[in-house]
Amino acid sequence: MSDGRSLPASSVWLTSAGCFTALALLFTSQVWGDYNYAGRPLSWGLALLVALIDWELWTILAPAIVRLSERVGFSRNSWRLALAVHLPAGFIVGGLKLVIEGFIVSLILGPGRGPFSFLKIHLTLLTYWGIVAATHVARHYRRARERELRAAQLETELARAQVEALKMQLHPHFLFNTLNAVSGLMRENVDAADVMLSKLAELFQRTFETADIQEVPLRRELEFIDAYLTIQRTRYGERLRISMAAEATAKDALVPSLILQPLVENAIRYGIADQPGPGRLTVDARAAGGHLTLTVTNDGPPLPTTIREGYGIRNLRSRLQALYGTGATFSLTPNPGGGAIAVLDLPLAHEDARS
Amino acid sequence: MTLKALVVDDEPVARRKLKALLEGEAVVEVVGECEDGAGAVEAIRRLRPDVVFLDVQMPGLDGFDVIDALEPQEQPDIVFVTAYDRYAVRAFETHAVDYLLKPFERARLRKTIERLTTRAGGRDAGRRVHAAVDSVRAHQPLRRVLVKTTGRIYAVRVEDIDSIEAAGHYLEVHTGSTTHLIRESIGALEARLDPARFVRIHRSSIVNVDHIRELQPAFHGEFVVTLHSGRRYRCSRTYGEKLTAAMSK
Repeated sequence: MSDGRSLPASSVWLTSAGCFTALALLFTSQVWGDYNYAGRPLSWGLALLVALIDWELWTILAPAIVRLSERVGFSRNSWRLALAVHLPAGFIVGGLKLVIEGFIVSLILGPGRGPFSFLKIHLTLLTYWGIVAATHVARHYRRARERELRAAQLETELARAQVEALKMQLHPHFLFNTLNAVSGLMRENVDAADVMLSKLAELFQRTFETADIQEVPLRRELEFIDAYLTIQRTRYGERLRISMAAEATAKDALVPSLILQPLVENAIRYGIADQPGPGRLTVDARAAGGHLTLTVTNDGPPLPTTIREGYGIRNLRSRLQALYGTGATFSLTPNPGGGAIAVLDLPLAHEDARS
Repeated sequence: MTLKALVVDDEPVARRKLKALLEGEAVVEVVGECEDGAGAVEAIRRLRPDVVFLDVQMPGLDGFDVIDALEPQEQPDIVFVTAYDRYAVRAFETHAVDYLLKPFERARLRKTIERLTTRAGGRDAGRRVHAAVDSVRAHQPLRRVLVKTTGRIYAVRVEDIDSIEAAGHYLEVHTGSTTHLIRESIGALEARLDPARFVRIHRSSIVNVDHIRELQPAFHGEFVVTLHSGRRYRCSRTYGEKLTAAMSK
């Protein structure tokens, strides 16, 4: 399993240098003892040097062993492969290390005074497997932390999207004009006034409902937008022309909750409300080739050459990044006939596929 | 005596509501209705109403732009009709300007009509309306620049403006290949523009930092500013620091 990013080289190096230098200091007295016991007396300085050669060779080898363990790690599916790689690798790396170590030590202490070479294979193998185990633990820990961080980030951004949705509904211009339209309709068409009030209530209800739901079926998102657009259509009358089209398969696809709201709100604010005369708004959803494509188009005044993205759009981008990484894209481009086209492209997923 | 009233609102339901309520008043005669600011200016000149019920937020020219577009002698009594806005309400109160907050009911409208019919003279209403509009605007950067030509009044969105140059008593406002003339001083306009977007680079010019293609250092700490439109300006040393600061934001 090679998922997840590899451990940073600098921290691998620092950690192994620290650990192995400490071990070298710890083993100095043992080296001194071993040599003296075997009748080959050694000064403390040379004992330290021999111990350092022993352990710092691991510092040099560790990064390669760490990279190999990252590539071939132990998990439920891959332990057989990992065993098949690391068992021989342990012997090869360990053996090689002992040969090099013996060579260097004999250079310093003179021929025939090398360490107790191949008798040390047990400790050598243990060290090799120690590095493999440490890599496993470190990666596991990092992944868990990354997951936690991502979950926290998603939660924050959903909360922000919810605040934005509420702001839209509580914006004086939207709220009081809607109430004024209700008060006007009461005199001419009580049923229409009723519809306005229930759609306004529905907007609030649906926003509260999404308190901790990251993804919802597109169908629910479209119902939310429909409630909003019903209100706007009643207010603007003939000026606002809306067409909504969604393929049946697209309607069941999962989308981030409250994701369409900032797009539709912007389309109305900049495309329709800012422009005298009629304006058209199109919402389109289609699923093909493993992708769900949502398009919100409005006509009206051309997009400025440089767009200053508002808070709603910036939040939308970071939510997409947190939920899908590079799997989702968003673009806001000028509509050739004036106005803007917002395109949201998401990986296609259905509710039963995720739990 | 009847009050000739004009109703201006971009939302049809809102217009119908106001008309229905006004038609229930014996002293009021609704002489017309408009759905945007430019139409309102034209209708005011043509119909000479005594009072205009004027929505503030409208596409194109908004309610405040309508006030700007009218000459003092052609301005009727104004009743602003608006959704709640803290600054606007405070300004209307301070300058004793009539206003209706949406949604309003019949009794509130009657009070307004009563005030309109019983107001003894007080012909400084126009001045008070202008003072209120100015004080609301002081709280927010300019969103549109109003251009008056003979026979036509229109608004230019500030984000579309490339640059502004002083030319005698006028300012040239450049958008792409078009130049609009407005009568205002460069200092007064600069004060109303968003300082994060518009920077004074010379005694006689302002540029939109979003439209700058590049800066080339020239002699004595000056810059040559090239816009996406191809226009070039000199940025004198005194303004250079402000310009580079605004561009690095």
